[in-house]
Amino acid sequence: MLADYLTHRGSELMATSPSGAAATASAWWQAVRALRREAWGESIAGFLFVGPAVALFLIFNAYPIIRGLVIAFSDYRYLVPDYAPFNGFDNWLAMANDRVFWESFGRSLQYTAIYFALNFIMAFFVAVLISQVHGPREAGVYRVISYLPVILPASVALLVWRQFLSPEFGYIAVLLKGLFGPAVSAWLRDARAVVPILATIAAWKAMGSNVLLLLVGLYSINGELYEAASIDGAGWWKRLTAITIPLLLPTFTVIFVLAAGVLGEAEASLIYYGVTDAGPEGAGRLIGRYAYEIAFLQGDLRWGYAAAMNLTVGLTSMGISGLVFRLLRSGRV
Amino acid sequence: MVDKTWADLGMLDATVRFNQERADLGNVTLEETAQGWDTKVLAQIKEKNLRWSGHGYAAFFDSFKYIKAGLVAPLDDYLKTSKVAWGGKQKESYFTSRIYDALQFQGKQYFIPMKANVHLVGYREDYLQMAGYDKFPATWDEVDKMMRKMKPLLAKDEVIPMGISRDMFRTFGTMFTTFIEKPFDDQGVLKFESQEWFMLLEMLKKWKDDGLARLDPHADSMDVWQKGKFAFSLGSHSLVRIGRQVWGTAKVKGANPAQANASAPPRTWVHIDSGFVFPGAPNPQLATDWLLSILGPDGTIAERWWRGVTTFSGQPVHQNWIDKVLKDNKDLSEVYEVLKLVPNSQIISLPVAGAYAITEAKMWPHLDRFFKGDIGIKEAMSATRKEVDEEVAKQLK
Repeated sequence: MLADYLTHRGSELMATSPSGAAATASAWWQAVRALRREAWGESIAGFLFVGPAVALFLIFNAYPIIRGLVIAFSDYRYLVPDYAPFNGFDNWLAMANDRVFWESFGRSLQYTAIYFALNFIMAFFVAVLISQVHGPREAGVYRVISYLPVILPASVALLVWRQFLSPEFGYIAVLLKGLFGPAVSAWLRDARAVVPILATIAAWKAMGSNVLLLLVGLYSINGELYEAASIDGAGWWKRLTAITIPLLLPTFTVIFVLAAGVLGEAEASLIYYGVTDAGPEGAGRLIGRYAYEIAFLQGDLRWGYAAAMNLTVGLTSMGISGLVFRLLRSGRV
Repeated sequence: MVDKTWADLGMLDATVRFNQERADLGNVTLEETAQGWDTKVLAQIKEKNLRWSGHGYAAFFDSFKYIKAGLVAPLDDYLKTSKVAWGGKQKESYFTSRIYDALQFQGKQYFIPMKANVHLVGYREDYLQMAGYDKFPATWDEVDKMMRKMKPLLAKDEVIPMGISRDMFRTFGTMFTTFIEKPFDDQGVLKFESQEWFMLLEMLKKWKDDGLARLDPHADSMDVWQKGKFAFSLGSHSLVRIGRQVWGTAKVKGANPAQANASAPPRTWVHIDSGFVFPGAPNPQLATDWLLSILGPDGTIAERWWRGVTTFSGQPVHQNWIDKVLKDNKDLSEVYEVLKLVPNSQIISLPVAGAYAITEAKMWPHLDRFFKGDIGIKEAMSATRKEVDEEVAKQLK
């Protein structure tokens, strides 16, 4: 557009101006200024529309990210005023030698794997069931029910589950005691059960979002494909594996990429066990919780170290997301 | 500023009274604190643009952190120049000089106490009476005998004699003070490699293994207590108050903690929560005078506060209020009795608040394994020592 305008305008001026070069240069400059005014006039409305959102993003997202990066490479200690020297990779060297970091990170990886598997399996199962409901009103009701845990505040969900899972007074413990005797519910106090329990609660809570994502994918599959497959003698399993799953791969990609983000999660443990108690034998100390303890509870409150841990977790999440994305995209039909 | 709880309990009323009676000192507006106030105040201090002058409440376990973060101004100069009479008489004004000592850090006074937390035993009198006891025993040996009598009698209702809260300062900390005069070293670290600590832990483990005691996270512990599933525990007066909410004053009583040694002066856990002034405050003298007036040893202004705080399991730090509010108060007789132990007890000092979080975080994984029977107490504490030392070495101050 600009080139055409300038060419056209330049040609006009060349044709009418007695002194070719100077007149042309002047004409070009006038053309540019005119076009900038015109472009600016069109653009200003766009800037006004996106401006507030960009400003909010810069203030509440970009600035904290940049500030977090700066803190991660410093020895910023909240309890030591005016002390935040740049320390290069010292925080990562400290992490490499921090046994608690590696234990917590391992638990978080376990947590993510269980969350990922349960969330996906439960969501897929529920979504397939809802997709089989033909009445739109009934399907709508089931969609709402499946989404309810998502809108429940995390603290409410975790505390309700805490009551369910109370080793002594919880509904599950009472049921198990009635069926199998009191010793059976002892597993609810076991340190080995902590991470699976927290991951299950988190998966249950987040499942609804994935149900809706999967339903969008399921509803978009052409029903004639299933009809044709049925006519060819394909059973439900064959239809599932040959039609449904391949066509849902893009949706799976989104779900798996989002699941990687729970690696650094802290609130489940903090709410379930409280701020000062990391559960039996410290088994509730996930990496997000450990970073929280370092930043807000222990000693000098080493924000630099905590930020470095969170940055490491963030990069790991991104790495997992990238790997999943690459693997699933390569397998796309 | 102050949290809503304390404002409603009496600080707001006391401030209104202060503005009426001590208009000569100035006028104070008391605002309720919002969460995250500390980072906001710190930022304002740095910018020399502080809006508030003081805070009516620093929980003991936050006190050290506040000093280190630069949120608390030393008060000595303001106390000397205060027009409130007892400002310059700090040491003589508390019912024991140990309280004054507990407010010092590196030779300066940073806080003015707004309540003491003196720990005791909370118990179900009906359960004790079932075993033939009309008062709580005086020694842990006698408690052991009592619990063994209680156990079969309470078994049908699935009640365990003793509840232990899974944190370091309620049951554990209180019981430890009955074994040793000074539970913390000069750096504020718990003496968890002492023989007394080992004796305490072995005793608790034996009780747990014999089905005489149960170990619950603190949040669950209160729930279990209110459900009536253990007969007694140790902690703050909140244990008694919260128990009475369900079971009433007739069934839930308080008593002095049993002692390890019947011949030694009885002791208990004591820590102090306080008010303080911000550094760079717009009106530091007024803030100090306000704190001195509402938290003082006498006067109608302070009466508003001290009467209020005792209804929420806080204890006065002046003899005058102990006598006025507690002495003839039948509903709080256990508080009056346990306060007599304070002059014998080490009041937990400020550095303890600094070391506490590290010790608790490092100790519990090993304590859990000890209570499971996987390791011995010495091994558990040796591992704790190693980790605490490693973590402390990473701190600058």
